[in-house]
Amino acid sequence: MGAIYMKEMRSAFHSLAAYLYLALYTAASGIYFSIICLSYGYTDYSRYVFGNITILYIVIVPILTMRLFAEERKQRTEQLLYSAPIRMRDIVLGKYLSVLTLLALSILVSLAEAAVLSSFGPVNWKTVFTGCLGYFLLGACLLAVGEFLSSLTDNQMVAAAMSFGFVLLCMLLPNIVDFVPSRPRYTFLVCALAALCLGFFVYDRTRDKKTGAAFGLAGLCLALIPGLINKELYQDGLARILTWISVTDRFEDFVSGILNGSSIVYYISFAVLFLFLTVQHLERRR
Amino acid sequence: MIEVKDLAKDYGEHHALKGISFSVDSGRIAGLLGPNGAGKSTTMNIMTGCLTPTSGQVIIDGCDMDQDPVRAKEKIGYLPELPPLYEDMTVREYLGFVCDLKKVKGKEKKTVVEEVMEAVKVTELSGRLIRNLSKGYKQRVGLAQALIGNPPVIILDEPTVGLDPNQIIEMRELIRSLGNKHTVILSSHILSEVNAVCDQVLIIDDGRLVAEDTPEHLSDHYAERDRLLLEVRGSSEEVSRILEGSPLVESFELFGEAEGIVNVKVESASDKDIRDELFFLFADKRLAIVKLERESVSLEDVFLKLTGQDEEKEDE
Repeated sequence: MGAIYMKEMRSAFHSLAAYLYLALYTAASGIYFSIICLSYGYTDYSRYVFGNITILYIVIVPILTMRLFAEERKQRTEQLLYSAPIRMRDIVLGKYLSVLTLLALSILVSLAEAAVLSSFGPVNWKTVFTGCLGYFLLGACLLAVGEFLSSLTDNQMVAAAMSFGFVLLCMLLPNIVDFVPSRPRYTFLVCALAALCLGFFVYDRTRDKKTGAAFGLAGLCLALIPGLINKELYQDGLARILTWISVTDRFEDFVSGILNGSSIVYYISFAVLFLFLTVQHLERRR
Repeated sequence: MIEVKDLAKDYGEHHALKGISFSVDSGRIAGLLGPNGAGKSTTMNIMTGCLTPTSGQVIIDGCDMDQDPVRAKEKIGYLPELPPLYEDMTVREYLGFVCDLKKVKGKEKKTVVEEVMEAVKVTELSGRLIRNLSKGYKQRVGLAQALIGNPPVIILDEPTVGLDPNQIIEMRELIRSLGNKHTVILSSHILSEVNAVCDQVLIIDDGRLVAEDTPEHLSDHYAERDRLLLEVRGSSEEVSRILEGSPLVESFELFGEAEGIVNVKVESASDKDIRDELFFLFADKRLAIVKLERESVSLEDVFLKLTGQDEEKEDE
């Protein structure tokens, strides 16, 4: 894992990616910092800077993750990694940690800005730290998705476009929630589709039709039964599901200085899920 | 040392490998031979753990690739068809990274890198970016990578492709010298190469192993009948008349006549050596044989025969 991590770090700093990312972050956070905090004199750094720059992830995630696996596949260097005495999860984790390091580096920039701000007035360090943590966790889970998407293709541009689309969707999701139909039947429809997808995924993994069908049916029952018992449960279900999925929603808490345990667990499990999927996908593709 | 059992690989409906089994003993050089698309690279990718087989087993030095991949992979150095190089690294950086991957200890790292660079003669290029190297040197760096960690098994997929004639000779010598300390498996579609380097030939066609033996045995085994090349002073009519009347001859073919000398290819009717009889046959008719040559069956003929490409000879 260490070898992969070091290699990724070196390659990030040998190419434009790391500099581009850090410059972008410094510029974006610097604009909000200098205009809102310095010019207008607001000391709530977390709210005005972190609260505004999450939109950056639309560009950051593709920049940092697009080359992770797509490039290895294109250059055929994946064969070196796969024939080396290391596990797939070490490869995935090593690459993931390298992008997390870059993310953490950029947060140092923010801390420096907050330190500058503290010389002009009282800065609430608690909210700054929770903001940092929230920004980091949100990034960590989006980067995990980016890494997964990069493992799907051998074309960096396609990987970039996919993660761009994904992050954009995440950012827009809170706005979409207001427009989804609220009738229980739509909730059921979506749950049923999800159950079918689960069934297909299990079939795809095991190549066993029976297990796949069993999982699909079990999922279907699970989705159907609560709805039959109490229809009210499915009222507005779709909106609730979308809100739950929306990764940006929980970020608000961190910005206002609320450290919510469930949100931390949510972000970490989200990231772990996608890292797991990456490992699974790569193992499967071999 | 290396055991491959019933290896099969399906890509959806397409069966790339249809059950291949073989074993290679320690310290030998085995050549995997076959036409393009026969499954050589697939076999090698499975042996090195880059691909997982649909069914079957690979055992490297007692370690099962499926059960204990990390230990099995520690015993292997692999040069794939395209050398897996990070073009934005220098040669030294790249080999250092491979050392890290193969868990070479920090202290030994420097000497290991120096040693392999020396072995493949790229020491003077150690500071160059791999992107700027020529194909031949890239191939060498790829080989250097496979040698790192001194693995007992070295697997080379078409190691001489794209090299110039001098480099090919050097590469073959290098491979032969590797055979002293390592078990080497290489793939090729160049027969002379396999003939020159390998102790054991594995011929693969259409996902199946069609022959396995030493190069000499294969030639002997598939030499069914003697084929003789004759040059006879005389006219083609006389020569045909003599050969048609003889029970020794299964078939013959006249191919060219110049300055009163007829070239003819004769296939004998039996397994026996008919050179003496043939000589007296022509001598009786007062025709002089100016050249008589027994054509031995080359590995190339065996290959063409086994892979069913007899008719459509491709010059590869």
